[in-house]
Order: sequence, then C-alpha cells, then structure tokens
Amino acid sequence: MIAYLSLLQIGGLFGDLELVLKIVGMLFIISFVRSHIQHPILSVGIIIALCAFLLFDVWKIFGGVLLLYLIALFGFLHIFIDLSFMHAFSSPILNIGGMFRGKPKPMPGPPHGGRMPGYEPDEYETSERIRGEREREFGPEEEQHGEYGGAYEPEHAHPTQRRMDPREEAKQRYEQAMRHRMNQIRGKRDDRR
Amino acid sequence: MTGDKKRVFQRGNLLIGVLFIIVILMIIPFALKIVLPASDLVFKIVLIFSIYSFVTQLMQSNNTLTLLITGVLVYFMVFKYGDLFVSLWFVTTVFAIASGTLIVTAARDFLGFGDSPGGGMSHPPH
Repeated sequence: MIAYLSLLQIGGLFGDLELVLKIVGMLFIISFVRSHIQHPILSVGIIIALCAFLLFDVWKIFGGVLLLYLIALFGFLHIFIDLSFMHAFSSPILNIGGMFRGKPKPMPGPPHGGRMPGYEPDEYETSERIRGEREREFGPEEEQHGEYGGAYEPEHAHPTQRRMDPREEAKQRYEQAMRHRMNQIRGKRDDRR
Repeated sequence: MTGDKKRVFQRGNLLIGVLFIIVILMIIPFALKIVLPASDLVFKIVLIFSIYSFVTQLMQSNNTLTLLITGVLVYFMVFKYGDLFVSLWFVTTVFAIASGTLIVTAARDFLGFGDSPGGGMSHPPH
C-alpha cells in the first residue's frame, strides 16, 4: 500500500490502468462484432481493423468515452440524478446552479388570495364574513399543515429568497394578518395601515 | 412538524456528504481485512470469478484466448492493484444493490448534509 503512495509508482499505476482499459475496450469490440456478424473470418478481420483504429489511432478520444461509459455502466450516474432531485447543485454560497435563473424573486404572498393586511373589504366580502363563510381562511384545517399556516414555513422558500430571518418574518406577517383579521371580525378600525 | 423539532442547520453541501459516504464505503474492505484477514482472500476470489465471467460473456466463447485475457486482467486487477479494485468492486456492488438513492438519502437525512431536511421530496420554490 505504501508503494502506491510513492510518487514514482503513480505513472506506472496509470499506465497499467490504461492497459486494463484497452483490454476491456477490445472485449467490448469483440462482443459487438461477434453479436452482429456470424461469419468467423469476416468478424475476425473487422475486429482487427476496429481494434487497430479505436485502440491505437484514436485512443485518446475512445479511451475517454470508454471510461465515461464504464462509469455510467457501474451506476455512478444515478448518484447525480438523485443529487439533482435533492437540489444539491444549487448552492447560494458558491452561486452554483443559479447562473441562468436571474434575480431572486421576492417572498411569496399569503395563501388567502391577496387579502393582505390593509386590504379594504368590499360589501360583498363583508356580507360573506357576516354569514360566516369566510371563517374558513384561518380554520383548523389550514393550521394543521404547519406552525404558521403551511405557506409561512421558511423551508418552503428558496434560500436565495430569504431576505431576513425567515421564521421571524413569517411570524411577524402571521401576527399582523391575525391582528387585522380579529379587528375585522370585531368591527374595529385597523391601525396598522 | 413544528419549527423547534426540525433541523434548521446544514453540515455542508450534499455532494460533500455523498463523497464522504463513498470514501467510507471504499475503506470498508480495508477495515474488514484488518479485522478478518481471510476476508481479503474471499473478496479476491469473488473478483477473479467476476472477471472470468465478464470475459467469457463478452468473448462469447471459452477457449485459450479467454483464459489468456482473463489472466492478464486478473494479474493487474487482483494481484498488482488488488486493494484498489476490491474497493471499487465493493462500491459498485453497493451501488447496484442500493441504486444510489439510499446513499444520497442517507447523506441528507441521517448525516445532515444538504439544505432541505427530510420528509420526502423537497418542496419546490414558489
């Protein structure tokens, strides 16, 4: 093992690996030609010609492609697919993955359809509220999905979109919305505007 | 599902976590060889049979040339650089069994790499 680590052996290591890669490439060529051409003499001639061309003439191209093919064959590409599903290539620190994405978008709005704090309800909405139909907005079903009503969870925002402490911001916005809502229900004037 | 129970920090990028797990997987045959010296022999015998079946399958025959090519490959992959290729063979076998998803999920959910904590696939940004 120590002999591997010495600098004098590294060139020999890569030379031997190249020889192993050439033998594997020759085996792939033999398999491909023999599975397509049944005539023995013709297949041997084509094998020799293909080996002479691919393994010696354009080996710098063919060797690289063969190495990539072997890496894909052994299942290393599944790792990259899974990593892309888990958003591993989008790092806000290294600025990887956001190259063509443009500026980060602002924080998403609340889930109650633009009825932000400070929104003046019209008569129709007021009549709905009197009938009790609009009490479902902050009902217990929506509050089950998270501490702040589901969409206020800071994990749901992309890291580049976080302007301040997202949990604190979500808490403040939720408290403002609830205060406005309670003032609406009690018939008080909202002083936050 | 409250905020206090969730893990809100991250240890590093998920790529680093997966590389960490791959390195650990490659060290396992060495550690096993230290604890149980006969395991190295078992690994190498399995590797020899894998090489032989690979060459026989690709040559579509079993003759002297097959044995010759197998011998060359066995010399380099088992005797000269046996530790390296046993580690690579072990990693590829684990990949074939776990299909990579288990490794990435383990790096994210159990070791704490990556920015989105567990609970299925991460929520897309709005």
